[in-house]
Amino acid sequence: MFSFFSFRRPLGTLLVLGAMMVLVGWLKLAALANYLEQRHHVFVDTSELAPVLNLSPQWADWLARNDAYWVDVQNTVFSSGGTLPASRGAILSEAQAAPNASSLPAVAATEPMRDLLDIKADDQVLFCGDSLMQGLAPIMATQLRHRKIAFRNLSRQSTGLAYPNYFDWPKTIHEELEAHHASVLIIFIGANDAWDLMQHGKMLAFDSAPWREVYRQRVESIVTMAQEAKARVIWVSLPPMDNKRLVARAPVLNELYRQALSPHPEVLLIAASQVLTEDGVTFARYKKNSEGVVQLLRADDGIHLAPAGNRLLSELILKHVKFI
Amino acid sequence: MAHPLEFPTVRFMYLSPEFALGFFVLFALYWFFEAHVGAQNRLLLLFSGLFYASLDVHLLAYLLVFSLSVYGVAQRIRHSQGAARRAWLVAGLGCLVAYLGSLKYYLPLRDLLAPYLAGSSGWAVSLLSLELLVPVGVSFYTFQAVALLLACYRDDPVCHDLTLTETGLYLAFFPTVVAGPICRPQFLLPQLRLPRLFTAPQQGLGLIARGLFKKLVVAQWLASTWVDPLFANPTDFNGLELALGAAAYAVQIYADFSGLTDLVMGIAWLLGFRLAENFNLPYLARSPQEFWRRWHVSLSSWIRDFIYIPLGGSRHGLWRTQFNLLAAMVFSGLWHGAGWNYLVWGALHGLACVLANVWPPRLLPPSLLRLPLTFIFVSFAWIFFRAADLDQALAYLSAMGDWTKPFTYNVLGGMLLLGGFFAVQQLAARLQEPIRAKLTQLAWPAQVAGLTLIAWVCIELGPSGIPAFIYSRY
Repeated sequence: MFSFFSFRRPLGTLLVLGAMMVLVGWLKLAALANYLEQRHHVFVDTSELAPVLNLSPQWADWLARNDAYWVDVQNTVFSSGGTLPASRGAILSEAQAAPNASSLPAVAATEPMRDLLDIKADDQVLFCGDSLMQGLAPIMATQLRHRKIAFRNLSRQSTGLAYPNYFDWPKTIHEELEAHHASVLIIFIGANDAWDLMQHGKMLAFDSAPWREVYRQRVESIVTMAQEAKARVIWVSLPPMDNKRLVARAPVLNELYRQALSPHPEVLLIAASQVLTEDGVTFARYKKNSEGVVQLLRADDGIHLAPAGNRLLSELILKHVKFI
Repeated sequence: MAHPLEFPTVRFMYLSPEFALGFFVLFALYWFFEAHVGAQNRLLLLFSGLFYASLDVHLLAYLLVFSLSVYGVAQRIRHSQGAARRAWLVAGLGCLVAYLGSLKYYLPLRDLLAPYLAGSSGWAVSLLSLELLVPVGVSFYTFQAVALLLACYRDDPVCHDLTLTETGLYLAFFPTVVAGPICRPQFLLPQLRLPRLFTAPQQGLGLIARGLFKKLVVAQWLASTWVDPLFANPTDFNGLELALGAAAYAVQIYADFSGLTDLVMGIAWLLGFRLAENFNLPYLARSPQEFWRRWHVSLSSWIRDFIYIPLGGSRHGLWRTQFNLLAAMVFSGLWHGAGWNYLVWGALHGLACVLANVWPPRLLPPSLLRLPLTFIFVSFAWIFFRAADLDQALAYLSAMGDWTKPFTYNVLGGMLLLGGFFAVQQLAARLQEPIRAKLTQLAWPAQVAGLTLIAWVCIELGPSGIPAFIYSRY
């Protein structure tokens, strides 16, 4: 059945394919690790492989960003300052032993959250978010064009705040604010964040106290950057979903957005459920408009919005905007 | 929290690292059993099942039941005579049409009828809330099944001794199950029965590299830079930019679909299979009829053999021939989707072919103009194909009439790129065969270096994540 003489030609091609896969894997190890993290939520701690692999500049940069986050977590979650713990594992143990977020005093807003935001003719609007924003942005952009208001659409599918190694929204927004001085940020994100987080080699379970803290910090970092750049923020919360993962997790994310944004009364938080449901809570694929015409609001996947849904959401957001 | 039916989320899409690893293992095992065709076929069937299940395990159930049913009907056709044989054929074809029609057109029709049904009760509301999973590649493997049943009915020798494994593999062959090429039983079944020869692997690897580059670099760049922004907001752009956008989509869909075809042909080549060419430099066509002899050849030949010819073909006079041609092209449009825009796209091509047939030869445009005119027509028709619906297509066309807006794009650069594309096409027509001959002589270090370079370039210049193929949705 098996003949080595016959197998030697396929063996040659097998070796070629294998060599190619190894070479590509080595050259693009960072991309591969990001892919595994984002697609399969599996963390590959390549930092220990770095000396063996003879770091490329992109690797060094990736590790530096990883280190920056580690420092951020230490400084914000623990507020300990001082010297760094000996091991990264120790950080996670401490994170998991941190007080439960729900036992912390409730964050009280000093003022009610705003419900109207001004946009001037010389403002520049920045659209940020995932594929939900990819559907919404072009419709809002048309309205901005009619008013000759400049905008940039950075929305990108499969992104979120949970996997900065794959795509780093806080960093992207920071760079964008510095380079182009956007004055209004419209953010619609979260559909890709209903997963456990990987932080310094340890998995943080979704909705656990450490997970909530890390995620909330990322939301707050965006708002803080916007404030420092004197940019106003409109944050759109997730509508109800008809997806087995998101149906329970979207409300958790929305609650985190509310908690993170309520200390910032200048931020306009808009609930997409206002126009995409009948009762503000329950997923609705169809809905009658004011003229009694039934409209398809949501796509077949139960996550994304159909064109009519995007139009309704755009109209809702624009109702909270005053063009001056 | 895991849903009970959640399958491990390893998606074996052709462009994923998981598929590369899986194919590597398959390749080793497959050629280990080189002298044993039966073992190779079973291995291929297992891998094809895993591949399809990785898309969605429920879809595999569809395909399993479908394959068993097609095999059963094929056997009944083969072992019946006269009226019973015909009855089995009609029943089989009817079920295939119902299967494809209900799965492909249920959701669009439901959304079309929703405004009228929403106020009803009973079955109408149940219809609105019924969700159907549409299997990936359903159009392709159903068409293959039609060809198989008809071959059995006509007592084609390839159907003698047809086995269940062969039927399953014919329908679910993983390189072709997602988006073709549509294989005829006369073409694929003999290859499943004969020992496979491992020859000129460099050509297979070259096809894979070419497919990756076309899809990940060319198609994705055109989509993100030109096509998507222009189609999203056509009223914001100058008419010339929109015209270039239509041309950009023509090149994008060609790079996307022919890139997929190259990829699967290369994969099949490395397994000892030869798939028929699906694209033959279609934008070098000088007439609409020639375009369809070069574009998606497996589909256009299927429509010719199973729609156009049964309608009468060219046997009943000039005008009946044109009617048959128009009907076949409208069918082709509707095969892509249940939308008015697809119907218009198919009808436009049908009308163009009819016009080209009846146009007096002395009034045909000069030879030099035929290629650009054909490309302009095809690009115009693609507007209807790319648009989400007829309204969006008409809005795009309307915006093309406005040449007063300032340019946003580098229009000259766009025209030069288009010219460059045609230059590459002309070169490819001349150099394809010499390049293939040279590839065969490539030593293994050059193969490794070349493949690695192409893969690295594709990852560097391509999109993040795994992009879908346009034709995998049909």
